[in-house]
Amino acid sequence: MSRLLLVDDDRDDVQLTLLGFRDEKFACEVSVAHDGQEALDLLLSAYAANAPLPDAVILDLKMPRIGGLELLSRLKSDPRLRGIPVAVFTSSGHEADVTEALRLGADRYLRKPASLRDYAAIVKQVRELISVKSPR
Amino acid sequence: MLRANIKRTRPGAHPRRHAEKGRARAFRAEPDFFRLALESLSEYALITTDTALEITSWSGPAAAMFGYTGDEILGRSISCLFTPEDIEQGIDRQEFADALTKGRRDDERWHVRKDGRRLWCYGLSFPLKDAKGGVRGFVKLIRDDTSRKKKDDLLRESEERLRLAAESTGLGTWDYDVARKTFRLSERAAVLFGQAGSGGGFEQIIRMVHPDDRERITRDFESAVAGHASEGQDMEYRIKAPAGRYRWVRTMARPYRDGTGPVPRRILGTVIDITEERRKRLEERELSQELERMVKERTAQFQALNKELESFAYSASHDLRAPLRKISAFSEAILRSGESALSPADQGYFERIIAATVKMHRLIDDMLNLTRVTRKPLERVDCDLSRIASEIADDLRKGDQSRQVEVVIEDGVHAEGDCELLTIALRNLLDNAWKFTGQHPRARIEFGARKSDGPPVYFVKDDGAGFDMRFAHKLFGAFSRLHPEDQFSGTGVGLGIVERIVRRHRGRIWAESEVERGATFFFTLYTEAE
Repeated sequence: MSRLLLVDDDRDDVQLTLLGFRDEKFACEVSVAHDGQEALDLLLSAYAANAPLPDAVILDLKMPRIGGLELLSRLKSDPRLRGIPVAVFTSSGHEADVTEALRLGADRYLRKPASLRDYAAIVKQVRELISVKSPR
Repeated sequence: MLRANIKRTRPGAHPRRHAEKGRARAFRAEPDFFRLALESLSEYALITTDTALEITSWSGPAAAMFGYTGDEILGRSISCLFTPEDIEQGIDRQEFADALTKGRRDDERWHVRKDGRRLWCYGLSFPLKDAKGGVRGFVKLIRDDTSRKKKDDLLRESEERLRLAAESTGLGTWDYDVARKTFRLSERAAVLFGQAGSGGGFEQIIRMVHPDDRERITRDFESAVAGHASEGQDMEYRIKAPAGRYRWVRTMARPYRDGTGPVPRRILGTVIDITEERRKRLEERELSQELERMVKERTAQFQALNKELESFAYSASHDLRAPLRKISAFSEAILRSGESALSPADQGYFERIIAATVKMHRLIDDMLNLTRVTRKPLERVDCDLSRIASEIADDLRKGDQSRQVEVVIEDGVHAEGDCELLTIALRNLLDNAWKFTGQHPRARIEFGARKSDGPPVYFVKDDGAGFDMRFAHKLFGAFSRLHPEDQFSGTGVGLGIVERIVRRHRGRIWAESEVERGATFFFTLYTEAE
């Protein structure tokens, strides 16, 4: 079973994502962090404890404390964590956000869908992401 | 007082000196010779008087000039030909007294005819002496210059008027005699050139010119004198004013030639002080620079505001989208999880909620597209419109394979412009054509360019629902629609986007249509003024 870390401060969106994954029968274990700081703490403590790291991080952009772009840049510049594939998952279609995320090393840029039906495409992308994940 | 009667004087009656022999012989040989010669000089009246100034002879031209016959005038005082004013001042007697002391006297003055009319005359008086040097009387030669004087007066008057007009506007006039190399200056010109009066040469004037301007002015002046400046020259330079400060003047020079060659005989010109004018000009330039700066500043403010507005639109749309997304997704979740618990009516309500959110999503997207299309920096490169249109048509066919639509795309249609924006424009137009032919079983959509004399006119033509030309003016307004939404879906932004793209390309867009007989959209690029 895949292990995912979902980083999103919006509890509604977290729940919708879980609903969407369930609808698409995406068998995975999802941990949730509510901002970038929490995500970093989780990942680094897992690394320190030599516990398994998630197969992918799915992160929102607008979050308190450490936002998505900063988290992304920290993940990609940290030799301990840069192997984890990262998908940005946001409702922003702002060109500047997209280009900045890709520049910082995001592996996917996914828009939050307006319909549960559209989670099919999201799940497909996340599955792909996990399957090509780089070795630790 | 000496009295003499010239009429009775005979040269031969006087003792002759040896030197006077020849002249005396001539008199003797042709006694009438001089009289005839003088009579034939019709312009000159010849009058002689005795020493008492009584007229002793009266030539034919004199009679014609003054209206007196010889009989009428002989023996009368020559003073009767003078004006009462001159007589009162003793000018008549003075004239002959001067002639006597100086040997001759000439002048110009008014004389009076028998009928009282006055004549402006040139006169020459000299004493008539006998062989021994004794004064026998006087000779006066008179030429009537009245008509010349009238002309001169008129000329002088008009020159005076011109001078007054020129001087009243501060304009000085000058006249350079190329042969004599001297300037004749009007009073004002003399002041402006810092000269005491006329008669000076170029050297006197150039001395007053600002050292920095001397070379330029000398060069221009020399070229004018050499005849290189065919139409004359206007020059602006600084010249020293009496107070020692430099003032700006403008001279205009026009060469006058006598027709024998390119070198002018005279150069006529004007000169005017433009110090004040230049100051105003500088002020105006400063003012316009200030205005320009203000415009730049305002533009920057405006652009900043626009950017702010744009980012506001983005974040607003982002923030609007999030709750909308939740409404629709959770509605779906309810529909799925509780299908059995909901009445069919309730299920219908949720479906309508979802449809409304979908519509609102699309509106927000279009709103964003519209601002993006307006704000994107414009490129200008070659775009293969035929290829772009073909790709769009392929997408449309793939999107709905049940439709029977013939899409005809002219080969090799290119345009200069922003390919990304032109793609958006073509996509909207072809989408529209696709959509509005949707209710016809078979349809034909065409893209191409018409080239007549002018720039190409691109077009997208369909044979679909068309529209009523009375509402054509509403076609391109954002969020305006010509068809009910239940017939043809859409937000009404598509053509608004196309219009903005065409407008940004300084083009024009228009449409022709007939209800149920299709529509054709035409556009041009880079044909309109900025």
